[in-house]
Amino acid sequence: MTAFKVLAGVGFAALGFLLAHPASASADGSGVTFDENEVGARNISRSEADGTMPRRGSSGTSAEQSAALPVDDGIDYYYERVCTSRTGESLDPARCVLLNAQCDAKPDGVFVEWIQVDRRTDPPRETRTGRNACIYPGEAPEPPTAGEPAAEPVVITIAEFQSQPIAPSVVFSQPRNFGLKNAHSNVYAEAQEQEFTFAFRNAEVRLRAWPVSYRWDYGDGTSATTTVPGSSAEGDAFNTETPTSHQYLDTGDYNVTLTTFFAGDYSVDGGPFQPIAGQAEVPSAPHLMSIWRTEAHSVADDCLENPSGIGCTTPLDR
Amino acid sequence: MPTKPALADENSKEGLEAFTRYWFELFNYGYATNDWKAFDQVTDPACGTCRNVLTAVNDHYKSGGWIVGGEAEVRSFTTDFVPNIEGSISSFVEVDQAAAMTISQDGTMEGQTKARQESIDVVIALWEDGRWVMLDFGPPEGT
Repeated sequence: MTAFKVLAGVGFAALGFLLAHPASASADGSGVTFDENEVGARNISRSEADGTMPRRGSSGTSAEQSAALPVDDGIDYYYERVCTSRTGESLDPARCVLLNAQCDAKPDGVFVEWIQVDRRTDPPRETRTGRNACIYPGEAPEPPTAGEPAAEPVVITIAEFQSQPIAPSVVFSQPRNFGLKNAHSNVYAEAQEQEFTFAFRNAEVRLRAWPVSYRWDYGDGTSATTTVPGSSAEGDAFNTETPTSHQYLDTGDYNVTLTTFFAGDYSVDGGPFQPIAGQAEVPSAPHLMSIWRTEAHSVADDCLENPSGIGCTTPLDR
Repeated sequence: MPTKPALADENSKEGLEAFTRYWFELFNYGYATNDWKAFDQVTDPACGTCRNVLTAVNDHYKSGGWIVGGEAEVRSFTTDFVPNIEGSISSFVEVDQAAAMTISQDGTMEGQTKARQESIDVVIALWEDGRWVMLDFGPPEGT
C-alpha cells in the first residue's frame, strides 16, 4: 500500500506534462496523426470474417448477462491495480507512473484491470478481462458488465456531415441553356434525399440528408435563396415566372452556381435518429445560361426585290 | 515495404513484440505511400484509432496530396503475455510520432502536426490461425 501511494504521488508530478499533450496535437485538423484520432483501446472480439463490426463494448456482454434482473450467474469481477500487481514482472515503475497519470479525470486516479472469477468451477477460475478502467478515491468502481463504462455518446458534427459524399443538385434551365434579356428565365434544381452508412468511432452510423434550401448565384451579381428547388414550366418557357426563375437585364453568357443546403439526422448502431446541428453546403457544377435579345420588326418587303431587307439574311451574314 | 521478421510469426512474448514493431512499420509505410494492403491483412477492421487515421490519410491522398513525416517509433513494449477472456493479449507501448506535414496537390504545405512524445498506449493482439492480428490500438480504456 505504501508503495502504491508513492507511485500515485509520483504519477501526479508527471501529470502536468501529460496534460499538455492533447494541446500539442495539431490545431489544423488534418487528422492524420495518432494524437488527433485516438479512440480508447477496447478489448473487443475479433470481427466476423464478413467484415461486420462487433458491437461496441461487446466484450463479455452477452444478451443474458446484460438482462435487467440481477441473477447470480456464478461470475464475479474484482479489479487489480495494473501497476502494483505487475511491477517487477513486466512493468517498470516509469511506465506505471505514465499509466496512472493518464487517470487524470480526478486526483489520485489508479489504473486497474478487471479480473473475472468463475465460481462455477472448483477451484474458481480467474481470467483477465482485458478491460481497463480508472478508479478514483471514494467512488465505487463498476465492473465491466455493469453497463457501458466510459462509452461516450457518438455525436455526428457538422464537420462529419459535410465530409460525406453528398450528391449535389443538378441544375436545369428552359429552354435548354438559353434565355432572353428581360424575360423570366426558368432555372430549377433536382435534389435528392440521400442516405449514408459508415463506421465512426467503433460504431455504425446511418446518416440521412435532405435538401432544405437553395442559394442561387445567377452569375450577374445577383443571388436568391429559395426553399423550393423549382420545376420545369409548361410550354416553351421563354418567359414564364416561377419561384426560381430569374430576369437577366443584359445579354451574355452567365454561369449559374447553385449551393444546396442539406439538413441531416443520424442513427448510431441502429438507435433512434437524432438531428445534426447545422446544415451541409453542397455546391453544384456551374450551369451556363446564354442570354439573347430579341428584335421585332414589321416588314412588307419582298426578299427577291430587296435581298438585304430585314429577315432576308440570317444574323450570321451580317 | 517493411518485411515481416520471422519472429513476428511466433506465439511468444518476443514474437508479439516483433509483430507490434512490424505493425507500426506498416503504419509508417502507409503514411508514406497510402498503401494499406499489408496493414489491413494483419489488423482487425474494428480498430478505432486505425480507422480514423487511415480515413484521414486516405482522404488526403485522394485529394492529390501526400504526407511527409509522421513516423511512429516504438520506444518501449511491455507485456506479461497473459491471455484474457477474449483470448487476446494486451500490451503497453510507448509510441512516439514524428511531426507530420500534409502537402497539397500543388506542393504547398496544408497542415502541420507536432511531434508526439511520452505517451503510453495499449495494443491488443490476437493469435489466430498461426499468426498475430492487431485488434485495437489507442490510449488505455478508461483514461
